Amino acid sequence: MRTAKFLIAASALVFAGLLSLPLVRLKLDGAHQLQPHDWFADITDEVGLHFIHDAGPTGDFFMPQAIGSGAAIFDADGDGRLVILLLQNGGPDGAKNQLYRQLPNGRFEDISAGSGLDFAGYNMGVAIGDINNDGRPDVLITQYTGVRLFINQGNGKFVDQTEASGLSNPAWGASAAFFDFDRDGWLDLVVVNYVDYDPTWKCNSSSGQREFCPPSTFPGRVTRLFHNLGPSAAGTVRFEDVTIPSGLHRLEGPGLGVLCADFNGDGWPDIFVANDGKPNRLWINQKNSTFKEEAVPRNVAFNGMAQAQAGMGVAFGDADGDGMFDLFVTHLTEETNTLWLQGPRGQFRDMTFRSGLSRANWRGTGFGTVMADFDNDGWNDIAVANGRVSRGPMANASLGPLWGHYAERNQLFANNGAGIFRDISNDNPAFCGTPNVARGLVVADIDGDGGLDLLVTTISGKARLFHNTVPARGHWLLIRAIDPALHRDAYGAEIQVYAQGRSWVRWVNPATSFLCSSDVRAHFGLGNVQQVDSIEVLWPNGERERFDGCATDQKLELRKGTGKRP
Amino acid sequence: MIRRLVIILATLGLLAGAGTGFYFFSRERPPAVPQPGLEDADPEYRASVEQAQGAIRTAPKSADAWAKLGSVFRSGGYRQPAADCFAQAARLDSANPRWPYLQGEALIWVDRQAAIESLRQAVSRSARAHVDEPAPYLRLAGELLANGQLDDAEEQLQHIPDADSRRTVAHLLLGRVLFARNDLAGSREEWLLCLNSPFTQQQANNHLADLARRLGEVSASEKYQEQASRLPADVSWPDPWLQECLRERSGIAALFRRAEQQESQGHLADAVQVLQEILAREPNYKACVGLGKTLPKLGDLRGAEKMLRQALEIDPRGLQARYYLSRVLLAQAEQQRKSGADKEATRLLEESVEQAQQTIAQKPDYGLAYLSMGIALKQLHRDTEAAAALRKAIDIIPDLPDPYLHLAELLAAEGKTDEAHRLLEQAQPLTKPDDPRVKDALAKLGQHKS
Repeated sequence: MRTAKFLIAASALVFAGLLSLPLVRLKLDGAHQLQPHDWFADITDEVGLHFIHDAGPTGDFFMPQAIGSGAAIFDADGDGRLVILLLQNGGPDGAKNQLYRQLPNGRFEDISAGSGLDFAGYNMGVAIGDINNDGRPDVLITQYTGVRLFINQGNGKFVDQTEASGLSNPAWGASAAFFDFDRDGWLDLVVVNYVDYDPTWKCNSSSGQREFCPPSTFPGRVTRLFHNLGPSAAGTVRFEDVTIPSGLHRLEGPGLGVLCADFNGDGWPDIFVANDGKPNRLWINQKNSTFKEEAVPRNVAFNGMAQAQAGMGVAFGDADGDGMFDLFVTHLTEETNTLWLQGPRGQFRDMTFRSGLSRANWRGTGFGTVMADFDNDGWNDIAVANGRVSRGPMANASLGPLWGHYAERNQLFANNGAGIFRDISNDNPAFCGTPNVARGLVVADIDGDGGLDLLVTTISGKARLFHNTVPARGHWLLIRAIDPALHRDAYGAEIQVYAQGRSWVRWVNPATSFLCSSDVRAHFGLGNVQQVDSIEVLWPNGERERFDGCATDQKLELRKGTGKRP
Repeated sequence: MIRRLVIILATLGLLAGAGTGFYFFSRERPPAVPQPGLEDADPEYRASVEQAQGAIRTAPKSADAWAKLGSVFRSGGYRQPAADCFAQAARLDSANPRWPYLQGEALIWVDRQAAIESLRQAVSRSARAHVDEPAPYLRLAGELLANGQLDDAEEQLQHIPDADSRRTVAHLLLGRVLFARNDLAGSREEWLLCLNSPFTQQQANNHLADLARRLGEVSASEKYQEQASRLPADVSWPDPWLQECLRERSGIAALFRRAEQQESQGHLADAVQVLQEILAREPNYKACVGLGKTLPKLGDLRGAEKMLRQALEIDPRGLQARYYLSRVLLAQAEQQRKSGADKEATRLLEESVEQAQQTIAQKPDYGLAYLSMGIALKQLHRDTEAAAALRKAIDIIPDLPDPYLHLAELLAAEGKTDEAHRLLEQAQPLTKPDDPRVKDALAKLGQHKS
């Protein structure tokens, strides 16, 4: 009897166990869904942003469609509120670019009509900079076969001065940047060009399906440099094409991303060009208006495996807290995004694996990218906007029968300190959960709360604005560095904040990522620092000034000439 | 007693039932046959997929049938479906290292960790079956290295025999392992062994340049860098298992790929043959243009012209066909002029200009068309127009020395030697060290001046 009871009890236990299996499975699935707090919330609709990207008609696999369009966030009239410029790529008959102005209540108002920026075309990238030093940032837009320059008139109005300025770029322009390469006080312009595309050439995948052509199908183009000659007697800004005298004409390449920064520490801005499938270029400023290509000797031409990768977007910032900027370039799904750490000064080394960035939860084709401190813990994190360039499995049917095959999820990497990154994409469904064909990524503190927000542009989809919702963010400073003599932001300035025996460094440089221009203000995440000891600015002309310390969690404006010589 | 027996039997029955239920509940279900979207794929390719899928439906437990479908998918670029098929082949044929190897290879672009797992399985099967193909070890080592698992990578590399041509790849990877450990002398030793292999020479030169820089050996670094810039890109190491898998490629796209390979290896006649094979199947613009570009290299300008005109019949707006036609006509004109047929040469030049003009009308930034037109106009002695076209070419493609050279020649003939000199100086850094044209032109200009 005892045996029978035992057997019955045993079999009951077995049954109970079997019955509980699905419940355990459900419970585990449920546990998997319990996430830590999202770093971002999608507030696109909430703030009144209603931009849907027009990529033009599908079916022709017109290559510029696959590159997408960028966006810019900037303070157009110096009132502290930001505008968002979103570009369209549907061709001359497609939808027009849109310009949104931020209202006092934080919402955005469409002010496109009559702004001068509301035109259609194959619009690719955007660069923002005050080229006539009138205190109002101007706009340059790169296009498939051209560039267009718009002078800011104030009140959200812009006037096309492309022809009058002498700017001409007979090529497929991609990313562009304003910077003062000869330190004469006038912002010059660099335009990265992609390939010499033949729209009548049709490409197919291995299975014979029509596909966008890979860049290797066509020759690359040279990066063009335009010298700002300052205003003419009539007040019009004039640019001179100095591509040949500067030496930039020597090497072509399928350029997509650009970064102008002082790579060798001599105080003069250099030009880094991310090439798609070819070695990157690093044009070192020779301080005499010429440049020398040094990507190979400085180790940024190839990845650590001596291989050229498909360079797209470029991010920079101090990833490991050593006071020097590091370089992050996004690449194809089958490659890795690469982090080159700087050190010693002017030398770079591929540290992708050691930084943990190769251990991503998933792979993607990265375009726009930003290195910034989203949780204000004092360490720069990395965000990547992803989207394929060749057809994959259908990932988001809502994007239509073509673009749905190019959708991928974005990625977010948290810096755990000293340049070690952890993939937190799974914990961030708002930013990383929905597959999109993302291209541009812009960073800005939209609402001035000290948390950096993100704007993503996508092909044939909505531009999405993500509000920073990191709980218990650290302290912060948002610094604008102005040269009063030039009436504008000091592009290229290096700002260093000192507190608690540590320092943080940022650069005044809106032209990073891919086809985009971010908020020019330098954002510092400062962890538990409530009071900084001092702030030092290395101005673009080489002068250094020290400013007094202050409390954190505020916006500052540092004006050249009002600090102390250290 | 009987009651007790009944209870025991009933309990045993229940347990057996529960066990059977548990088995059916938890057992692995056979995977569904992958069905990636093949809309608008090459009909020939689609047919090969359908055939391979049909073979699986007929024999779902055949590893070969799954592997065949995996190969067809892999050859069409469908990596995840290919990996899924190879995984099933590996399950059904549990000793063969080839299936987990191909699964791992397909997964490399998708999920490195999963790829490493599959490649490890391939390596352990290879070891058990004493298979002497080193591909699994080499591929696994490469992925482990990329994943930072240095010791593990080094261990795999020991399995590549010295006699194997792929040993140089092992040296390259071993050099990277040692470099990552800061053993600079050791890595240099390894990379020096890679300088003569088409699989490794460019990468090795780049590595040695970097290493020399780290050691402060500036001239050595520059030497390696210079060598690397002159070398063609390294070719993929031979992988018989993958090559066999990719033989499943079918359709026009596969033929184009073959033609490209033949051309890149300098087998121009073979490339022409493949392109002609495409044309025998269908009128094809790209094949015509391919022939129009390749035949001149074999001296057949007339054949090229015919092909390019055929291409324009297929697509009258075809830019490359029109541009290359302008080039071919220009080359023919030069031939005619050499043979004294000036009238015919002039006719050809005029048509070359016309074709280039039409190309430019359609694509105003076609720098090479401006160059072609400038050269033809120069030969027609329409110097002003030639100079304008060549200036435009310099503006659009300032990285090519040819428009500078032609314009400098034109200007020198007009006595504008200073500008000609300036142009040649701008062209000098654009030419390869073994290209004497700028040097010769400068010397000639110097004589002209004196």
